Amino acid sequence: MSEANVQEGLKPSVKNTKAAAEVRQWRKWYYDRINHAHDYGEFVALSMLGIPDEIFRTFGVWPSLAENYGPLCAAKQVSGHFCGVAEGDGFSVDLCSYLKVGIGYLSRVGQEGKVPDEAPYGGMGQIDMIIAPATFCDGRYKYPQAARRYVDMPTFVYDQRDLPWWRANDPAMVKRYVDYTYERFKELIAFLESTTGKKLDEAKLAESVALWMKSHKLFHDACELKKCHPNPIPSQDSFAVCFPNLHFKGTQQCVDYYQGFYDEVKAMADAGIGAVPGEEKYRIFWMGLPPWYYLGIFNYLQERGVSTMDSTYDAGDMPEEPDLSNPLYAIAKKAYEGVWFGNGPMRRQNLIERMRKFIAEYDIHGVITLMATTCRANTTLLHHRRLLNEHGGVPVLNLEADMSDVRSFSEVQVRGKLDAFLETVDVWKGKRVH
Amino acid sequence: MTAKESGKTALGRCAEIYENRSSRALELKREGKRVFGYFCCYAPLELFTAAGIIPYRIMGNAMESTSVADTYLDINFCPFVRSCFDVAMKGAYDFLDGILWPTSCDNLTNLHGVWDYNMKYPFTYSLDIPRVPDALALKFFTEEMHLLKEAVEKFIGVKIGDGSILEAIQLHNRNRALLRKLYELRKSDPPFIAGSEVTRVLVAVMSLPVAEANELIAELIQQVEDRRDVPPRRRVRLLMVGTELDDHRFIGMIEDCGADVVIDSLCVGTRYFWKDVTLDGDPMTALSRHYLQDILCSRTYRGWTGSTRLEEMEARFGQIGEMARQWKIQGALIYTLKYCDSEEWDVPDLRDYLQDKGFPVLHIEHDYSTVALAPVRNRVEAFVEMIE
Repeated sequence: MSEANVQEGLKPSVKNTKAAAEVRQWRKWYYDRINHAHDYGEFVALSMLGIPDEIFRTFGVWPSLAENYGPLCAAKQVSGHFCGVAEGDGFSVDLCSYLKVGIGYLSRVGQEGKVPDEAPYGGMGQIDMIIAPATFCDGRYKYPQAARRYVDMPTFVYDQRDLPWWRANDPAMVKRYVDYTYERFKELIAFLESTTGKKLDEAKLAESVALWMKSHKLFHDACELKKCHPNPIPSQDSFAVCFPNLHFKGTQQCVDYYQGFYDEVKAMADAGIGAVPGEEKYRIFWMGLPPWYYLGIFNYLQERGVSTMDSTYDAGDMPEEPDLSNPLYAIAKKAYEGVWFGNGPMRRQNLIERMRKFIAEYDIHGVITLMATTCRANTTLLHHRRLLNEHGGVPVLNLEADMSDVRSFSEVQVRGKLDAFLETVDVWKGKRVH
Repeated sequence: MTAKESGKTALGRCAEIYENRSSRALELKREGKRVFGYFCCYAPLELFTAAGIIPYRIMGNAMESTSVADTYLDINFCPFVRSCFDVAMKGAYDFLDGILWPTSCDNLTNLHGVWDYNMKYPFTYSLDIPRVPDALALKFFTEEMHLLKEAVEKFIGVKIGDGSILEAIQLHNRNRALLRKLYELRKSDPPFIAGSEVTRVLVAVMSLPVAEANELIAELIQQVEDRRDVPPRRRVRLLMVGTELDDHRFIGMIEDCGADVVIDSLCVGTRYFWKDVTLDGDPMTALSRHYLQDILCSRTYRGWTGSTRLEEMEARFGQIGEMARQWKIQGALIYTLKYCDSEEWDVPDLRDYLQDKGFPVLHIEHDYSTVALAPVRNRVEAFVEMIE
């Protein structure tokens, strides 16, 4: 890789909480384990966010996710390089940069015959199988097909329907979606049993679901503390602390982590300690994906008295207490309850009521969105900007850049827009009536 | 006045309808008929026809700037649906009584919410289509089709009987058979009908009630078989694979470069008529099976547990490979619209598949607009010269 591929100058973020700073060690451990899974008699599945981690865990299968490796490569400033490799293989510049990082990485492994030196954290592991849910976005079921160009491993793509928001209040309709997903999960179990040679341990699965509920509750309660004045969880922390929830669901370590996180931010909230030193000048909601290659953007805002908050990877709503007598059905059921990461389908549309509620409850002065250019699930931000302007009572800034591909990002331009936006927020804040 | 009553040839009438697509639909509206708009190949047209509703394909305008849509839709929206939204906001589809939204892709699914918020129609419905074509998905989709049928029945206030659906299936199957027959006339060298003419025909057909369309195509086939002004023989025979292409100027540009597009796998092309609805048993199940399984679009995942990559490639592209063989092509042009993820992800595999069969391949990623085709023309000219 040439030096030109590495962009310099984008500052990494400085975390506000110990829990967020600790995530670096979790990531290191996670990739270390993936890269040594076979030494433990475990397996690695090239996969996608949205898969039921609890089921994978029961079989000793570690999901290796491009949606996580992409942001990691972005933070290490090598995402542009891997995207470029994928584009050299014929994949369009417009395709999801998370997934193109995955493709570029696999292509480089093929070229080198080993994990390339530029791959952070020792790479994405030795892939034993490919599993993906056809849900949420088109890339989720197309990526496995593309990945097979490089790793032709047993593949299982299962259909999981996005629940349209206009059907979400119809219990019979929701049950129909849950039942369908349940049947797909049975197929997933059959695939995992045949590829790993193990049988499903229902008791272990039930235990995993119960642990997930515990960590989810703790994470949920911690996220609620963003409502405090001052807010103890700025977005640079928020985009870090989600990691255990995304990758260690259903484990005691995950429960312990969120207990520690909750205790830490609760103590800060009780003591009136926030991320912004002194008074919070503005409270800004960051809607959607961040620029992973420049999480320091939140520190830039913080230095200007801005308290940032987001809900992108938050715990979200609390599902009902699951019936653990059939843990597989419980997993299918909770996928369609409320809004939390993993049942994202309901997030895409009809967001305005949720946004208005968030603005009121979190006392928001302005909204910033990143129109992540390669994310097709994320293409209604301009529409929501109009809605927010009409009904939200706050100004909105849309930044045009990618979430993972650093090549389209201009720090100077973005900072200029942020500075101008804060002036606008100042004017609106003076006019605000609520 | 119907197309036939105008006294023009069938080809001339197609060109006329192409230029003024909504004229017949508006006439029928004045007579009290209902017209529903639909997107893409996944709309079960038979249900509308059975309900006495005229299905009318929603298209954009590749010659018009998307000045209005640009203020509503993010920059990374599919340019085709952007153009559809743009012309709709300018009033082009105000006459529609309803719109059917299939959950075919991210772009359409996301557009649905924005469209519904900004434009109101008496009827609007989203048809949820599974991503895989297996038995479990068929059960789910058959239920979806019944829900759609019930919604349409409620809207028109009349039950749609099995007899009407069967009759509609027969009408639409005839439509498919006629179009396939027309495509047979492209096997000759030179083809009896040029690709740019076929685009006009298809757009016209998608703008008429199916019975009228069938009459028009039947007459057109007769005219083309007898025509003395056969298009000139060009240097290269091409297959075109890709997304929505509804402006004849694009294929016209390819013809100007010395190539004939003799066969395609496009949304406005074989994708919607290549296979008939197989009539066995319950007509709703037959329709569901067809729309879930028979349409060769990249939005449907066609692998299965235990399939090798090569088997999966054959399931995805085998039909295209067979077309290439039968129509004796010399090269293939993959045409994708920007931000059409499902097609874009397929490009490297499809390129490899066709190249492995010995065909040179050119991939064009396009923005739907046919206002300025010069940069594309340069690439097509070079491709044609390379093949010669």
